[in-house]
Amino acid sequence: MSEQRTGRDGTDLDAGPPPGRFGRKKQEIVVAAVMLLGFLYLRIRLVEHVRGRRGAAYLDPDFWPGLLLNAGIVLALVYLVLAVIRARRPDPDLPAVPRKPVADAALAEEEDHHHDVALSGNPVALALGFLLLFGYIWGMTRIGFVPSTLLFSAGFLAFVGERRWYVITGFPVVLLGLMLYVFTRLLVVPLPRGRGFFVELSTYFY
Amino acid sequence: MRIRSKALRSAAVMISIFALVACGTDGDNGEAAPETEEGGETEEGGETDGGSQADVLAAIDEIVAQVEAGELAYDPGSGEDEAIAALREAIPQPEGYPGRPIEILIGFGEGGGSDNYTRNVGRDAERILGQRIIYNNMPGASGEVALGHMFTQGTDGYTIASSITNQVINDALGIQPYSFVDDVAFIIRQQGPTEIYWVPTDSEFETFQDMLDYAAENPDQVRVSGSGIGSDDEFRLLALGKEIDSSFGFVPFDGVGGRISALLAGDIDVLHETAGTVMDLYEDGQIRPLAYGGDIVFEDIDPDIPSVADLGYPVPTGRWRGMVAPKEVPQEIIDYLHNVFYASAQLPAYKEYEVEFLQHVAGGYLNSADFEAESRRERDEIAALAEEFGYDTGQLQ
Amino acid sequence: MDFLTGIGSVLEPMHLLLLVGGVIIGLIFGTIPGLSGITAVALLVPFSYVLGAEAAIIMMIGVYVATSTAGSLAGSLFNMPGDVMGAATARDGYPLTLQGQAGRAISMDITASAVGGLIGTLLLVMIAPQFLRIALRFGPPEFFALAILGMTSVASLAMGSLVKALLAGTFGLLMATVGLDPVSGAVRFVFGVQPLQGGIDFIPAIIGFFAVAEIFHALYYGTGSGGYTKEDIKKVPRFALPSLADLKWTWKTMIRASLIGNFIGMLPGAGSTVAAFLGYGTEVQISKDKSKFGKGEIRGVVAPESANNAAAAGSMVPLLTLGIPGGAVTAIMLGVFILNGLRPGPLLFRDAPEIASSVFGALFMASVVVLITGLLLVRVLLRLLTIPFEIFSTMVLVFAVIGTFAIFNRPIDLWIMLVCGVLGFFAKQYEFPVSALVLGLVLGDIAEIGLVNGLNVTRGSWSVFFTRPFTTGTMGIAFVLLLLPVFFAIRRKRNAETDEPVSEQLI
Repeated sequence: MSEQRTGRDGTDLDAGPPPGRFGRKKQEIVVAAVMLLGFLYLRIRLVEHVRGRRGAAYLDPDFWPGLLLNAGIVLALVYLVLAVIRARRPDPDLPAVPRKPVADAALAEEEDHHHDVALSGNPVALALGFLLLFGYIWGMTRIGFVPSTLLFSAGFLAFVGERRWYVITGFPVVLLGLMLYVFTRLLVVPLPRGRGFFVELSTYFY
Repeated sequence: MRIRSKALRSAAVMISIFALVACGTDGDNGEAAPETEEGGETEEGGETDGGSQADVLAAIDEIVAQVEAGELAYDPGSGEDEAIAALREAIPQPEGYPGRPIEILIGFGEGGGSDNYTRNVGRDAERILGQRIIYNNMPGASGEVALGHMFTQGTDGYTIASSITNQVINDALGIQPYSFVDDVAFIIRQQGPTEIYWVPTDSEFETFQDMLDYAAENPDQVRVSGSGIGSDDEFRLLALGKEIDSSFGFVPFDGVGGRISALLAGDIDVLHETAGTVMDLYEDGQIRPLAYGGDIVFEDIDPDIPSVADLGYPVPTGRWRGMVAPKEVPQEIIDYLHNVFYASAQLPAYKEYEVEFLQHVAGGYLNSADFEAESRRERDEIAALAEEFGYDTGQLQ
Repeated sequence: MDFLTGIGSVLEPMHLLLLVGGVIIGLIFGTIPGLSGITAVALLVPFSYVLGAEAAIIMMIGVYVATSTAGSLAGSLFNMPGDVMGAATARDGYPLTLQGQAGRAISMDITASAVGGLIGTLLLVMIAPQFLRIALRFGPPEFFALAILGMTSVASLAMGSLVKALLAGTFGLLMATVGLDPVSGAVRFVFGVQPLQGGIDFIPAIIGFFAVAEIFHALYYGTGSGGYTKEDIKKVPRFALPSLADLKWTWKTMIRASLIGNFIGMLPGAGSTVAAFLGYGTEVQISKDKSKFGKGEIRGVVAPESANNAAAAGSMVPLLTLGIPGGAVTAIMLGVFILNGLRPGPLLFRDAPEIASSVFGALFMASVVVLITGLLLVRVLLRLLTIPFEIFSTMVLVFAVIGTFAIFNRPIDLWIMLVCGVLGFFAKQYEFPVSALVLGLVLGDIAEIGLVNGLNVTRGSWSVFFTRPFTTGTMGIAFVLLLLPVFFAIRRKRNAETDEPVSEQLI
C-alpha cells in the first residue's frame, strides 16, 4: 500500500495543490484548527464533562484531563502555527522534501506492478464503506447477528467489486457458518439476537 | 481466471484454518457443553395457583433436606435427576415461561466474584428451568453498563441481571440516567458482605480499637484502601470516621492486585477486602484480620476477632449480590425465578462453591420484598451520608 | 519448584500434544486480522473443566505464548495487529512487508519472540524472587514514574513530526479518561452515552485504529491489500530460517529487550502491553541512527517482540505468587486456576508445586514450539497476502466486528471500533502515528491512577515522585532516554553537517 503514500506526497509536496482542489497544506491547517478548537471547547466546558466528586482526594477527577487538555491546546497551537508557516512558504521548484520514506516506498513500489497507482482519493467509496459498516453495527442489535452478517458481507463484497454471483451468495454463508461454529459452539459468545421476531430466529441458530 | 483461483485458494486456506481450530477442540466440547433441553414440558407443571410463596419455599426446603439425606438422587452433571424433578413439581411455573433460553447479564468479567456467583447459582437453576442460561459478561462502570443494557432489552423476563451493591450506591449518588432501586424488580439477594479489615502481620495496630484510636488523633493519616470512591468500602469508612469524629485517608484502587501489593509494600495501612480474595495471604501469615466489616463474626476464620457492629459502630452497607429484572416483568415470573434461584442455591453444587469461596460465612439471602426494602434503606442511608459529607454528585457550583 | 521436572511433565505425550495444539490455535487466532489473542485464551476456558488443571494450564500457556507472537504477525503482514504489542511491532514490520520482505520480517518476528520467551523463562527461574521483591515495592508513585518512562517512547514513534506524535499521545491519554473514573467514581467525557461509562478499552480501539482504518484507507485510494504473488511466496524457503546477518545484527537488541520486558511484565498491572513499547522505545532512543526506525528497521521488529514475550513470562510471577493478573490474558488464566480449585498465591508453591513447575516448563517449551511451528508456517502465513482484496476486506470487517464484540459482549465497543476506524483513517492520512495514540490509551490509566494514588498514599506529598529510590531511578532513566537522541544528534551534527530545516522535523 505504498503507492498512495507516494501519490499523496507527490500531489501535495511536489506539484502543489491541483487546481480546484483543497491542497494538502491547507488541509493540515484545518486539521490543526479542528484539534485546537476541540481541545479548547473541552477545556472551557470541562466542568460539564467531568461530573463527580471534587475535594475527596488530593487531586480532583478533572485535574488530569485538565492537564492533558492544556498540553493538547499548546501542542495544537504549535501545530497550527507550523502548518501556517509551511503553507505560506512558496513551493520550491525542486521536490520539496526528499525524505527517506518516500524513497523507500518508491523502491518498494517498483516491485509492485499489480495495482494502478491511485493519485487521488475517492471520498464516495470511503463514505459508502463507512455507511455499510455503520449499518452492519446498527442493524446487528436490532435484527441479530445472523441476518446482519449475511446482508453486510454480501453487500460489502458487491460494493468492493466482486461480480461473481456465486461468490456474493456463497461466501457470506460460509463465513457466517464458520463464525457461528467458532463463536457459539466452541466459544460461548452471546452474540446479539436482535429484537422481537429476530430473537426467535437467532435462538434457532445459537 | 487467475483472480478466481486466487479467491478459491484463499477461501480454502481460511476454511482449513478454522477446521484446524475445530478439530483441536471439538472432541472435548461435547462433554463440556451444558445440557440443553427442549422447552416442551414446561407447561406441564403450571399450577400457578398452587399455594402461597411460603408453602413453595417450605416444599423446596423439604426436597433439599431429602437430597442432603441422600433420599433423592442428585447429580449436577445430568440433565434431570430425582431432585430436579421434585423441585420442578414443587415450584409453580408461569404459563409458557420459560419458552426459550434466559440471558443473565453480568456486570463484571469472567472469573470475578459476580461471574462466579452467577454461573454457580445458574448451574442447577438451568436444570430446574429446563432452559439454557446465557451468561453475558458485560463489564464496565462497576456493573452499570450491564444494567443499562438490561433496560434496553425486552421486559418479558428473558433478560435479567446479576447486580451488586454499587448499583444502589450509584443510584443514591444519582449518576445514572435511571434509578436502580425504583426501576428494577428485585428477584433475590443471595450473597452478603464478607469484607474484613486486614493489616500486615507486622502492623503496629494490634486491635481494631488501636487503629480507631490512632485515627481519632490523626485525622486522614490512617490509609485504608478500598475499591474506588463511591464504593461500599468508602461509605463504610465515612460512617466509621463520623462516629469517631475523625476521618480516614481513603485510597481507592480499582483492582484487587493494586490493593494487595500496596498493603504489602506498606503504601497503605489497612485493607478493606472480602475474605475469599485474600484468604491465602492470611493462611500464609502475611496479613491478619482486625475486625469483620459487618455484623457477623466469621467463626471459620477467627472467632476471637470482633465485628464492627459488635463494637457498636454503624455499618451502612456492604457488598451483596443478587438478581434483578426490569420493573415491568410480571410478578408471576419474578416469583418463579426467585424460587428457582432459591432452590438452586440450596443444592450441593452451589453450597460447595460457597464454602470454597468463603461466601457461606455471611449468608445474605433476602427474598424479593426484603431485598427491595433493604436496598431502599441502603440508598436512603447512603444518600444522607453523601449529603452530609458534601458529596458532589453533579455539576460543580 | 523444579524447572526440569516441569519440562519433563510438559514432554509427556498428552501434554505436548495439548501444548502444540494451543500454540497452533494461538497462532491462528492471533494472525487473523480483527481477532485477538484474548479471544483465543477465552476459547479454552470451558475446556479446562474437562482437561483438568495441569493440562488446561499447559495448553493455555501454549495459546498465550503463541498469541503474543501472532498478534505481531498480523501487524507486520497487514498493519492490523491483534493486540497492543503488535502495534509496536507493526511500526517496522509493515514497512518491511511493503518492501517485499515480509518473509524476513515474520521469520525475525518469530525468532525474536522465541528468544524473548526463552530468556524470559530462564530469568524467571533463576532470578524471579529477586525481581519479585523489587516489583512488589512498586506502589502508585512507581507506576506513575513507569508511565512517564513509557511515554518517552512517544518520541520514538514519531513519523517525521514530533508535534504530531505528541498530539497523538495526548489524545490517547485523553481517550483513556473516558468513562467512570476508577479512583474518584466521576463520570468523565461520556457525552450522555450511558454505556460509555465503561470506558474505552484498547482492544476495540486497536482493531478500529488499525484493521478498520486500513480497509477505509484502501477504499479511499482504491488499492487492495497484499500485492504478493505466488512467485513472491515461492522465493521464501519452506523452513524460513532468519538470516545469520540479521541475527548478528540484532542479538544484543533481543537480550536488552528481553531483560526490559521481563521486568516490566512482572509489575502487577503493567503487563506486556507496556513492555513492547518500552522495548521498542528504548531501542530507538539508544541507537545512534534513529532515522531508519519506522521504515523497516529489523531491530524495530525484534525489540518489541522479544520484550513482549519476555513480559509474558514475567507476568506469571505476580499471577502465581500473589494471584495478581498483569493483563487481560493472565486475568482469564487466573479464572482457570480458580475454576480448577487452585488458588494462585503464596500457597500455590506449597500446595501444588507440580503446577508451578509445569507452568515454567510449559513457558519454556511453548517458546520452542512457537519457534518451530512458526517458522514452518511462514509460507502459509504469507499466502494470506495473496487473498484478493474483495474477499480479504469483507473477512477483515466481519472478523473485526465479531472479534470486538466477543471480548466484552458490549454493543458500545462496536461503535468505539467504528469511530476509531474513522480516526485511524484520518490519522494515517495526516501522518499522525497511531501507535503513539495507542500507547497513550494504554498508559493513561496507569499514569493517572499512579499520580492520584501516589498523592493519596503519601497524604499529599509531591516529593514522593522524586525521592523514593525507584521513582528517582525510573524518572532518571526516562530523562536519559529523552536526552540521548539529542546527544547523538549533536554528535552527528559535529561529524557531518545535516541541513534539514527545524520546522520540517517538528511538523
